[in-house]
Amino acid sequence: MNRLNRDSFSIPPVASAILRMLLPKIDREYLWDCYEKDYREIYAHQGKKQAWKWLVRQLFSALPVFMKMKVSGESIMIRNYIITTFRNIARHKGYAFINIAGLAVGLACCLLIFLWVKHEWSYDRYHENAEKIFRIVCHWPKDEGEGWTWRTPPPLAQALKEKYPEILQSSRFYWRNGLLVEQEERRFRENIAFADSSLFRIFSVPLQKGNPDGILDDPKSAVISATTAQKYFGSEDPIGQTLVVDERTSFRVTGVMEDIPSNSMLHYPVIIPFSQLEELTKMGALDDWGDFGYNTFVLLQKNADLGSVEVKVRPFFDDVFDENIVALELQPITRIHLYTLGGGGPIVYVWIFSAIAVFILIIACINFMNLATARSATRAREIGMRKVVGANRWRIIQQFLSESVLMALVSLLIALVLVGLLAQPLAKLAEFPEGTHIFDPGILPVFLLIAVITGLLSGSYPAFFLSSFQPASVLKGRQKSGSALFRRILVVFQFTISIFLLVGMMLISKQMSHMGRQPLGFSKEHVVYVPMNDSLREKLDPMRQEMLRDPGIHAVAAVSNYMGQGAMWSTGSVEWEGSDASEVAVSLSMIYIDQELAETFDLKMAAGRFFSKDFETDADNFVLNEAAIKAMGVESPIGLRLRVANQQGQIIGVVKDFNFRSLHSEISPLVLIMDPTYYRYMAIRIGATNVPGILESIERVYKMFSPKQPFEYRFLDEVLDRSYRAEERSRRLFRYAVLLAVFISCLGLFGLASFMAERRTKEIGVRKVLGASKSGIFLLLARSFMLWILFANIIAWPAAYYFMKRWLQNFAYQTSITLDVFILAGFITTGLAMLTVSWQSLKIAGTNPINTLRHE
Amino acid sequence: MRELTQQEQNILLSVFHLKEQAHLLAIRNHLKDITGKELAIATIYVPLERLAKLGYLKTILIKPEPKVGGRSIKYYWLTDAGIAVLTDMKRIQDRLWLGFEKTSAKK
Repeated sequence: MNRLNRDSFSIPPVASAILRMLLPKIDREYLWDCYEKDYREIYAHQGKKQAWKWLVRQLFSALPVFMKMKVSGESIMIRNYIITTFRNIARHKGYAFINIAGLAVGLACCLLIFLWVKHEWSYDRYHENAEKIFRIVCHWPKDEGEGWTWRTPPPLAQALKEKYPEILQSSRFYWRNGLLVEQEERRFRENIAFADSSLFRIFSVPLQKGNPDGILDDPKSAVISATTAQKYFGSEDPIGQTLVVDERTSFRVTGVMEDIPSNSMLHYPVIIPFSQLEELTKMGALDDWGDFGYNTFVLLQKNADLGSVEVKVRPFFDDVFDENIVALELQPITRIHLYTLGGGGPIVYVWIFSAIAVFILIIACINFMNLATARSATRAREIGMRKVVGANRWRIIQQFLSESVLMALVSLLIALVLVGLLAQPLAKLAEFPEGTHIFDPGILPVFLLIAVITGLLSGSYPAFFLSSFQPASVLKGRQKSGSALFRRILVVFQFTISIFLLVGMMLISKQMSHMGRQPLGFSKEHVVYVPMNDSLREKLDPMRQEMLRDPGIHAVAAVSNYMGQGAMWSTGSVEWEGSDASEVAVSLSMIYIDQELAETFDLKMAAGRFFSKDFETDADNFVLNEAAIKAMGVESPIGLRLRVANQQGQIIGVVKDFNFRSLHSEISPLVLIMDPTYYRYMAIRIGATNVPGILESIERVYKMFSPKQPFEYRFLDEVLDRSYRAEERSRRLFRYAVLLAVFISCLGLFGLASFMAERRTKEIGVRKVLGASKSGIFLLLARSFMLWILFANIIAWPAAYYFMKRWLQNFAYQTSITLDVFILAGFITTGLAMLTVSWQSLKIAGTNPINTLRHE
Repeated sequence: MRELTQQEQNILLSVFHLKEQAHLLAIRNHLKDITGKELAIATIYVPLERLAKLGYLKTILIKPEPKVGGRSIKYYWLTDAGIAVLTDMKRIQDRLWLGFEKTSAKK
């Protein structure tokens, strides 16, 4: 029966399409008839259902065997394609170089970005239960001046676990950096984490020695990493040995864990029981619900429904506090590294870089397409010949696709060499934690996939275009070199992307320097921070006096944290005289300081006075910043009674707003409290001259009061600069990527221009004979390219404006978007393109027409 | 010489048995009659083509008649090489099976 006469007994169209595609070509009609006949028979005798069953069985058995036949028949042709490709590379070395170099550089850049992005994504994903681990965070709603914090009170972990059966494990977590750890003569400063035993149940932290159950239950126990064990105990068995922390408390090692990878927020060499926090650092009573300052991690039951747990946990604080606006939320631990609470965070850079990687790859692909179609004339005869001897269009498409994939694979090899060379420098540039190896061989299949996709993408248009040649006309010599319009569009597109990225890069730089110029509200220069432990804290006043004897030391203050790096604690909602908690809830950031702070940091008062030694009661009093007064909405703050956490006191002064947090965020309400238990650093203002001498005298005093502790100091401005390093290094990476994009675009333009010039050699010869000037010919060649670039500028500017406007909204202090940036970007690209094009144009324009015309 | 699989051997024998009428569906039906198992079209076609490529089978493709319902059909028959290989296999098989019939008869 002829297949055109379809009726209800025929094989259904979808199945027949699949089947016909599978059948080997030579016997397609015959085999098709076999299937059709059988199907009809079964349909007629056994009904539709049986016929369908039969068909499915036939399809499944046909699929593997016919596929295999097809592939084995193809291998000869594929070999031919590969040979042709290499011959073409060998014959046209220049073009092949531009193609492969462009693709290789593009791929290398893309792969490096891929590795970077992958590393950024990998944080805390390796835990076995990563999907079920959450950090409890606090959220208060918009009408209360929306806010987020991960700081939770210490009793929360236990209370949550007891109240909700879905929560399998919970642990408190906190850390202190740079505590002195001693073992006999071995003394190092270590970053120490404080946690509960359950931490080892929540996270996948394999123990080499020790039993995870109750490993930190003994208040004097410690778990150390394998490297740390090696450092302190060498080859001895560390279990049962003691470490002295902060010159006071001895801890017995109860477990040795494998080193925690650097891409984990648990990357600490020593973990001790959370209950020790109070003893070691004098922080937070551990049954105090008002002490917001610590991480709470929970592990949910395997089958727990996240949605319902969220709903249950959200109003938890309603039972704890009388007037509560704070809701609890669950933050997946895998998001902690990349997502800032409440939106934004490093994830922005991850997206930006991913976009750049794709852009660069597209630019490289466009180069390939442009050159391939422009140069199609050189391949036209080959295609005509292939068609004459029996190749159909699909064959030619296959040939060119396999050619471009092959080129992409060659590029991949070069790109891999580049990646191998650049991976470590990049890791250094991106400031990955030491020992991070971002390149692992397991990633190769992904690279291969990216390369193949690139090859297919860049080969797609040339393949379809070249395969459309009519053999009769191309063999007669009537060649065409592809739609010039399409090439123009591609070049415009390429340069649009380049200009867009360039504008983006320059505006990001502008924004960063704008932020750097923001007045901080305090002076950060010439301030030295020296860590201070408890024993020193008690000797603060004599130490200060001793130091001030050096005329180079101007002021010495005690503080709880680095100025400009945010506050370590925040209050719940505070109450003051006449406050109505149901109306305005104000949460204040807390910084603990002493009376010397204002002088040390050159803070200005807006009203009232700063703390003073002359007033004994100042230990109970508060100084607030202007933002806090504004948030509270009080008219005359001085003398107002206020309750912060468990402390009652008066507001004695209002300090002018200063940026105690990073410049990313606006200045938020702050309270300054004079409470020695929280002092952690001495902030020392020194003179600008003879800094080494001053540092020596500080060290001398320090050693006098604390002979055992190693002396350490840091300059505040350096610390602050470092906190903007994340932006700084992203910016640096960004710059390299953008320059690469522009470079690859120009590479393509160079190829195209030289090809066009080559094709017009004869025309130019004739023009010159007829009297055209060198400059006239140069203009002739360069003009069209310049028009394209101009056009690209026109498209890129509004797009860049739109996106950068949106990006800038992430910042509290925004720079303005000015026209000069756009003009500069346009100028740079136009200039580069001009240079690229004129290289070739001038060469051609300068040749003697005799040489070009002689041949015929 | 590559040894033939059981399936290929069965197919060759079917072709021999069906003489001039050996086309795909006929072979399938013949094998179904003897073994009771119905093979998929593809699983017969592929070994047939392989055997043809090895030179054991000759094929002829008859184009459909130019009328409605005209059907193309492909016939297979054994070449001398095909007969030789079957003979060879039979000899080997006979020797391998030697004495087996007596055993099964006893039971």
